[in-house]
Amino acid sequence: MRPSPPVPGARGVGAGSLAAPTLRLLACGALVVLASHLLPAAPATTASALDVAGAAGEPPPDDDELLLRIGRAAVAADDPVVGARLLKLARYLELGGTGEHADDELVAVAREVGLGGEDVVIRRYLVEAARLAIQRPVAADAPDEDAIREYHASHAERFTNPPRLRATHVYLSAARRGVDLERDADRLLDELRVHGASPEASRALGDPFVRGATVAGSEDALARSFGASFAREVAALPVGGWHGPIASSYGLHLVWVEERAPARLAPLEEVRGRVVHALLRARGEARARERLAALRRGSGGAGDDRRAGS
Amino acid sequence: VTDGPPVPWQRTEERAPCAAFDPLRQPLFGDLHVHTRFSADASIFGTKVGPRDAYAFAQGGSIALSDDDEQPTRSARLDRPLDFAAVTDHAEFFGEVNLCLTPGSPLYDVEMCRNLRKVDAPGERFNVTVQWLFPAGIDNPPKSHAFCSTPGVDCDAEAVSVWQEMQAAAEEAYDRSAACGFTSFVGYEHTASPFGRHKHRNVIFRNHVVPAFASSQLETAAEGSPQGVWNAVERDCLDAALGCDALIIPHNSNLSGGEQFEDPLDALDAQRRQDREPLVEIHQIKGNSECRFERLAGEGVGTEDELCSFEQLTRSHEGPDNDPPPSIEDWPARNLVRNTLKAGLELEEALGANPYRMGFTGSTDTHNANAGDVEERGWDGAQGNSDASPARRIANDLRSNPGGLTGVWAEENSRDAIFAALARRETFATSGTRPLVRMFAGALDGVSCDAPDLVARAYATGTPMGGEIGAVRFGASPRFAVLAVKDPGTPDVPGTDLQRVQIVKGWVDADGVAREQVFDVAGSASDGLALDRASCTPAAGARELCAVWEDPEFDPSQRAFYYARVLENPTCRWSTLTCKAEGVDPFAADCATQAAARGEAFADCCLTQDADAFFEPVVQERAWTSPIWYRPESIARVDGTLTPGRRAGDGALDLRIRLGRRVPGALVAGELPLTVIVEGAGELFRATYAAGGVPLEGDPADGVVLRVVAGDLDLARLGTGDASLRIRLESGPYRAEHVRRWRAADGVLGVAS
Repeated sequence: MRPSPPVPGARGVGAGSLAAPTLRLLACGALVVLASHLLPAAPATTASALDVAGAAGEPPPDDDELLLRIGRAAVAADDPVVGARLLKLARYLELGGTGEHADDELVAVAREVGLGGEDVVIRRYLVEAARLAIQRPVAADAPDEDAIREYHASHAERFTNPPRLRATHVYLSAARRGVDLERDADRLLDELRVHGASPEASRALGDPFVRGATVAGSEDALARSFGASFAREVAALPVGGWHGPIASSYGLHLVWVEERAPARLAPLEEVRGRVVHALLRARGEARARERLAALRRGSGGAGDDRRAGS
Repeated sequence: VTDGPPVPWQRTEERAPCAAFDPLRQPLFGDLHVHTRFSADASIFGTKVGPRDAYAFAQGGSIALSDDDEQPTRSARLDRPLDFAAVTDHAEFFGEVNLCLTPGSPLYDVEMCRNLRKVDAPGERFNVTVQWLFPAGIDNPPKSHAFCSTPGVDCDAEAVSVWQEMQAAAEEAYDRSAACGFTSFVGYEHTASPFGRHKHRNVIFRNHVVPAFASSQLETAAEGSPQGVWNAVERDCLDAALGCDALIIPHNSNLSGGEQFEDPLDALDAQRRQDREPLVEIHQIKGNSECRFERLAGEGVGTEDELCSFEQLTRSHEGPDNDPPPSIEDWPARNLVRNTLKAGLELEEALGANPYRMGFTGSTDTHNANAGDVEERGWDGAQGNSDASPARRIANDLRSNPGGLTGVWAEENSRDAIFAALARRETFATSGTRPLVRMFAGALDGVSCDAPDLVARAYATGTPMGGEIGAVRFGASPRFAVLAVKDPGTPDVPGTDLQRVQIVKGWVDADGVAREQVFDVAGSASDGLALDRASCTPAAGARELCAVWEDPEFDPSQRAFYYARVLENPTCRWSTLTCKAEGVDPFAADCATQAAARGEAFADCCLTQDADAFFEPVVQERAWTSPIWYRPESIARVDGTLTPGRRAGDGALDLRIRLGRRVPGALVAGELPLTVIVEGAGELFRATYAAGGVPLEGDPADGVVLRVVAGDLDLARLGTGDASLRIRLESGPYRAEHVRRWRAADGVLGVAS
């Protein structure tokens, strides 16, 4: 497990540092419906949109700032997530002094002193909830067959399987052979070459290997099983003939590549589920961008949902 | 249905054949027990992410994890993606949970929904947990929470919607291309918890064909447990004739108060359990279920195995009547899988069928959707904000652990191939690391640790883990081959070397009493002990270990099981690593002083194994192979030939099946009907012989031979190469099987000698 990186949003929403991969998964969703009301399918009234977008003459807000404003406008006054955070802050800052106070009183005090607008966690929550609201797939996003085919073709790099190979290997165990490992491997390689041994014939040579004598898969898959350097070296071998010795996590290997397949775009039917999922996500993100741009222009919306691009 | 190389199971899917295919099978790692926000308890813990996030994480993507405040300010990523995974959310209250999480729903603002969403510290959520989950623990639960009767609310329809979303997430994650990079399974957890006794089971479906509704304990309680979930799976899947197939994996027997594995009603019930539940989850975040040994008392629950103090919880179930927990003498024996397997042997003596013929899986049971997140160093926790921070992990969840993984040996990374491996129990469980281990048993002619083709020979002359053998060497012990290699780890976190391989034997003695014994068969208990406690660097040990072993106390008349346990060298437990990272060294003389300076939450960093019966700051990670069962009444040997032919109708077979000595006398006397089934690429041959017409040869005193000759068969789908065949015999409650890889020569398949 890699250590958890610092939370990008911790530097503040306004810094534009929210990393979508980390935070877009936030599914609190408490603001979705209300935020959607601010962003109706039909062109919105300019009044509500301008309230969100800010007054004329101010510099145009960036996406995160705009989303924060949407979130603030849409949040329920007694939203439990915000309330819990404000309560925690109020207690931590001892806003109630030494007296006994009900939770809602402490939350009210926290709001009064502006914590609701300044706290990083609350700001991040509002931004992401607003982002979810405007990206959420709607029925009109469901793609037709032509759109699916077009997306598959135009994003071929995402649906292309990497090059792969299949090889037979003779394994020599470092644990069994110790200091003789390399000498034994060199000798066996010579024998294989001199006698023109076939992959099939080689299976009675070397040491027993728990994974068997077949090596197959992409370079990534081989790296996962045998280590990165082994995968790289095997990926560079020609088809046919004995090569090596190549070191892995287990010992040394003499390798005969039997088949190599180039990278190949997976046919649509093999990856249809992934294509549809990616397309829906792309449409949601595009719609969000359009709406934010429209709000920034002060028009309040990008038009009918059904025209959202892909 | 896709064509592909001949395989000893049926292809049921439309998908591309896998480019990486190995007839001698490759190891794949996965997690078959993962919860997301659709589980009520996960949502109470503050988990926000869903099934799609879980599958993305399993494939190497990042995931957002909640912090103490239930805010997703943490993230994690697997260094090594999984090969397969199943999201198994609790089916109880699927619909209610989603309605409570969906703004705008008619239930969104009801008190129970607000309680579900509100931020609670672990010690504050007892009431809301009871409020939500108590119905799953009573005899006659309501089908849904009372608020579902609100006008305009349809919790059942919402439950279907959640179930469909889980299916869609699995479908999107499944790689149907030739790359076969990742396999997802549709599944769910059926959560019977009678007064806190875990009778929990995961239902794993073979492919995309699944029931329209995930039947939970709320729907099946009246039919009993586990019979209710069996009924549901049989009615809605197996017998629905829609191409649906499923298996059920019980788990957390360590928290079942002895109720997870109760006696079967009769032989049919026993056989039904064996068929429905071929596997058991032996290790997960909420403890290990293999066996139990209390170190300070020097006593175990039916065992003297000191290695059974590994990752034990203090309670025998989670009901309010478990305080204090029972003493070691009164501990429920069948909370432990090894004891349950032994009980299965005893029950087979009495009933003729073994209800507990279970292979092993390991998983996480994470409630954070972080499938397979099992690394001890820097463990992220697994239960929302309950264990989100180091302080909470140490103070609240010291005895939890990062959980385990399931290893399978399968021809390819596809749903059909992995499901077939699960069904035949060719699996191993690990406590989270990724060593590889294979075990075979049989005559194993020519198999030795010096044979380069050990694996091929073993498949040809023995059966792999999960299977059964008869008296394969007449009165002599079968031979057992175990081959294990260390987890290679990653460049940043190298794997730990192996210390030893053990074979655990359970058997029923001449008095009908189940017993057990553990044999060290490779490596040594004295190896690899020199852990550097300052840096937590483990000692050097073996990269690989191999043994071909015979049971010195084998008695051909006594039924038994054998499984291998692979032990890594000692390493620092996750809690030790966490404490050290927080500035509290559990090994330091002034640990208490350091802990006091760091804060009250870290006091348990200084707990030692001399002061606690189970806690261990140093652990030995391990792997367990599924058992192989020796059955005196099983098939002793098969000889003969099978000719696939080139076309339908060209096939023929001529089999001589030697039966074991304890085959029912009436069967040997020809007084019972007998069905013979041969399976390869699907079912190849089936014949039922009437009583009096069973083709038996030989003298019953010497053991009889069943002679099966047939022609004009459609066997061409076996192809022209070697083939794995399974021969099954059925006669009433009597069953036996023989699994081998047959060798092809001149168009004829024969048994290797």
